Amino acid sequence: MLDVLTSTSNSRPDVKRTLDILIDAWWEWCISHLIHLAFTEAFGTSIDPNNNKNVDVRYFFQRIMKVIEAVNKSKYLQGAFKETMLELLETYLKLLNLP
Amino acid sequence: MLVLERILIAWEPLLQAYRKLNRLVPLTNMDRTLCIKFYSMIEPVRVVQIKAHAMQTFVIVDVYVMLYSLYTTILDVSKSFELIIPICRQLDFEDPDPVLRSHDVLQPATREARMLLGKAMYERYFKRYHLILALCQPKKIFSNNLGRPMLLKNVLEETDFKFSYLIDAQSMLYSPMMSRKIPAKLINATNIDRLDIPVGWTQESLQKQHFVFVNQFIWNKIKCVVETIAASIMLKKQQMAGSTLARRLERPAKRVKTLELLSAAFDIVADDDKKDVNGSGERFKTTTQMVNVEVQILKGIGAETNIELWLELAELSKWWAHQTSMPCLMQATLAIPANKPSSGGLECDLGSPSDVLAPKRLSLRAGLVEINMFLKINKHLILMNSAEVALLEKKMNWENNIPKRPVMALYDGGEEEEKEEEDTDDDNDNSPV
Repeated sequence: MLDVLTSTSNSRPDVKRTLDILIDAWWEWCISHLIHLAFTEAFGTSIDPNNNKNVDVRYFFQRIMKVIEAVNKSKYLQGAFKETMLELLETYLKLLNLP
Repeated sequence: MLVLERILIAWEPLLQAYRKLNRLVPLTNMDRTLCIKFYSMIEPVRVVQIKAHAMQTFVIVDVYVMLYSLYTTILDVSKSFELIIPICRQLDFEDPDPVLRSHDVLQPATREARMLLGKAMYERYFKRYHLILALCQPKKIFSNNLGRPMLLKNVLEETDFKFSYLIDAQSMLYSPMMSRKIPAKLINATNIDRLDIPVGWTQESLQKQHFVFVNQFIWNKIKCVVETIAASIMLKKQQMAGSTLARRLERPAKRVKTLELLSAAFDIVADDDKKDVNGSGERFKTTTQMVNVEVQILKGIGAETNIELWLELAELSKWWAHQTSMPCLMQATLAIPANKPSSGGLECDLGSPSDVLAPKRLSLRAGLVEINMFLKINKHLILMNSAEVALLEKKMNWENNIPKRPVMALYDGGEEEEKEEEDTDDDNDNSPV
């Protein structure tokens, strides 16, 4: 364990305890995990709907995702979208449903 | 993030596509405004996240400074934030003048999201600069004597703080001048509830004291690491001295015992210390002395140099120049900031065996491990030249003399198929290799 290159991790108790107590390292939040959790809290995008702290934004994002899904799944809509995109922007970018 | 970016870029074509097919447009202008505001909130924070992911480059100080700038811009609800429209960047249009939005004029959903984002970041990161909430038991530290502020503890330990301050220590070793200013600003910027202020204390006095506590704590932790390095350096010296003594003693017939060597080494080190000056003409009898001298040299450099010079010259490679004057601190400086701000690389390292090794190979059987170990230990006995191998005659029935390995009941208690497999494996295991 002496070759561990980082003492940053998420705040899961097992990992935190290993770094903090067993190895006696300086435990620090992994910035990526930290920001991800902050986003989840702020925009209500947690997997469990009961842990949702921002209902309005969650519903808003769900609505946007539904639109994207409808465009990506429908042949006609996607075709029309591609056509207009090439017409207006001269480039085609597929709508993404996942970050 | 990409979801919002793509939909904002393709907003107009998307609406036109719906109109072309005579379908009801499911999105309104208000939705676009909301998307832009959410994007403008997420984008600056996401930049920090991407930066923190870097595993090949040294980014800890960048992340530290970026987090500070986040705290003073997007996470501060008293300030306006800039609206970012992704279409301008994606298609290389000229960026228009930045449009600022005040927190008060935002829609309730956006306002709530911004507040929650600030709160979530604060709880996990910026709380360490809070004068009271960063401490586990503030009542056992701050007290008063007839209305005057009094400290029950002068030096705080690890257990007194809720945070480790690793990122502050990393940037402090990188650039002491810069890292002193950022915590000071963040500590002074924290608002504290009047009811939380201990009797006899004021907010200003608490801010000053918290800064002192945090600085002291970080330096003590750095000193602990440096002391460990100093101890190992001293031990190495002793061992080296011991080996030279062993050569001097020239007693090839008898082995010099380790204890004798060490006791002799202590004498030699003491003698050497009189001559050896560690590059700067100082003698160190204990590791603490060594550490204190090095910390003083570092603090001196930090005080003399101005911040611009530090920012220009502050590179880890610079520390190699101080190899002789601060040998222990140099090692600590290279080790402590080596901790990455993100655990992504480590998680990839730990997760990568599953990409390389098949599940069957991962679950090694006892027999296979035993064979591998047997071969590895007896590697020196294996003849590489096949011509030198002495072949046994068949008449000798040597195969019957191989002792059977005991079959472990625990592994044979499974299904029948597994049993059969194991049996066949065992047979194979016992066959001559």
